[in-house]
Amino acid sequence: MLDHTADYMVEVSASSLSELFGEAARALFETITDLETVRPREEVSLSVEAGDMEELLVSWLTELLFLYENGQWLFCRFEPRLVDDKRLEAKAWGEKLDPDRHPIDREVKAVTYHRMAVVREGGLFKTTIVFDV
Amino acid sequence: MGLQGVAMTERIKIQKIDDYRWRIPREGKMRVDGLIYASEAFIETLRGDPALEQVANVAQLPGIVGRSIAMPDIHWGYGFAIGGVAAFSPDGGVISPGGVGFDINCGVRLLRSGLSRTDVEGKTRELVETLFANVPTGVGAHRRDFKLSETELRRVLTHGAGWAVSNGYGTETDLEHIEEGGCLPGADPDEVSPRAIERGRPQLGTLGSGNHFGEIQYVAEIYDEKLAEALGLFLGQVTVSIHTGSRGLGYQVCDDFLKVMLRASAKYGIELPDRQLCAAPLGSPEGKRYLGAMSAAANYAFANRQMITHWVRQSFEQVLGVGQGKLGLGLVYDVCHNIAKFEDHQVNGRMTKLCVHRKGATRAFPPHHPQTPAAYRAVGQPVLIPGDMGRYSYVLVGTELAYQETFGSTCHGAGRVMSRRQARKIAGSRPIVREMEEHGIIVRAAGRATLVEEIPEAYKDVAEVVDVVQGAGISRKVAQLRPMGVIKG
Repeated sequence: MLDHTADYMVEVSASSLSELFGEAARALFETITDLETVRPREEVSLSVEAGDMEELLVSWLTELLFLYENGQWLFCRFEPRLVDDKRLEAKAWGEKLDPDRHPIDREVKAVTYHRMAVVREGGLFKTTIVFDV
Repeated sequence: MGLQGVAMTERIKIQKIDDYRWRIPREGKMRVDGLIYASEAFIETLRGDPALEQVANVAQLPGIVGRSIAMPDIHWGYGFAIGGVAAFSPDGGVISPGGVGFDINCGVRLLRSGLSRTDVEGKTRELVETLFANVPTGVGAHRRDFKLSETELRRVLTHGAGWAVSNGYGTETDLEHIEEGGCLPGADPDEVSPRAIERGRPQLGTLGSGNHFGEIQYVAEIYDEKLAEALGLFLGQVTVSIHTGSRGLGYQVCDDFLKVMLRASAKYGIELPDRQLCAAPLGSPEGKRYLGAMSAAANYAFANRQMITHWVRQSFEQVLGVGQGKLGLGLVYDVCHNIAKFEDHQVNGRMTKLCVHRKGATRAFPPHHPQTPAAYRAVGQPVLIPGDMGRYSYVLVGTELAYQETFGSTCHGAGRVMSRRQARKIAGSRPIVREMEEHGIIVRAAGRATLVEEIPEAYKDVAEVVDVVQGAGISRKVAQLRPMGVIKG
């Protein structure tokens, strides 16, 4: 694994595609804060559509990022369900940002398509995600 | 996947042209050569770096003119390398959001004061604290006394820094000292999505996070008295630098248009070596729409830096109890380093309009160029190169050679050598604020992780970067600025 110099690169893997979306979301919020401090107090439902799998993954993460930035939401638990490779229905649990309890480590500006490719290796689905920070 | 990346990169050939120039010869699907400005030492560290592969990838895009250029602060980005310059012909060329970046019109401005270092001695901490209180810094911060309606935001998108000045933030003179006068023509607020507007409304006049900063500095060295005098700089003088961009609005515009461009690339048959390079022909509806939205976001960034400037001036007045007359704090210049713009350049001896992408690169127009501000006409356009927070920054001017070789462009900063993760590994438990204080620099940061990841060692020595562009003749050194106080997100 190469370590991306300018930005923040993570590699996620899961045994199903739906879970991969959940793992990617966890990686996003781990980049922003300490997930241990976030409690799953409230539930939010999301629905995302896109042109293909990679775009769907970027759109899903971007949607969560938007909820964080404009709604101050921090999420720690996810239940994504792929309807097909162009549509995702999901539930996310978390709470609103409380600066006294949640350390904000860094700002994620955006989720990039750079080097993103969802692949299947052995029994696992994998992808690399580069966040612009 | 990582290993594959390395293997591909090792295939990138590099040929030495002279001490500061290296060629990636045209090969495979590349349409033009790559040209890298670097010292021998830099090239050694770049071997095997994915950034070189990115320079070669950009050379594959349709309608690229001249060469795919990389500055000495080149490092691995997404899509284009950071430190990349590429110009495209309106005839068959493309525009790519990946060649601008998420932070559209991220840039730097420099204010010069009438104060000497001794005038602020003992007051740096108060200045830093006041700046931190007056300039919203870090995630979610904004001024309680400033709210923006959607209608007003659309005016910002159309008029840029001019909007800020007509609303009491700064002066008309400021506008003359901003690239493009602080407003890109052709901005189309209707192409900015409702979501981008929503993200942008609470964030105008905020510094943000990451590598963005506000810095109180002093002029530590002058390399050319005549140039320094023309730029109003003197030894020991207090200056202020501001580094920020278009905030969430710009990120959202980029995000929205990556989707549009992915479809456009398929529609127009543009082969993509990396999805993040997705592009559309300059004359296509998609290309024009992106240009309109990107220009609007660029104008937001100009207004953002202008408002922050106003609050910097207020902070100095507040702490030092002197008026603007003595303070000065006039604008030296404001440069964009993430942008795509139409500019006139020489191609095969003929003046041609080209769309120049600068991603982590700065415009460096020569003396006597009509776009170089009147005050600097004889010396060339000022170029502002921030370094890391612990060492120094530079002021340069553009040259005729830059205009001929690099579409009037030069480097933009130090460039990271260490990933954020590596920086955390070596400095995770270090008391960074105290370390900086021991070096005489007062730091106030909103987030601790940001500070650790921004440690000076995580960056190249910007002096070496600047020596390359000076050695190559694409810029001339004017002065070195050293930090006294820093605010960060």
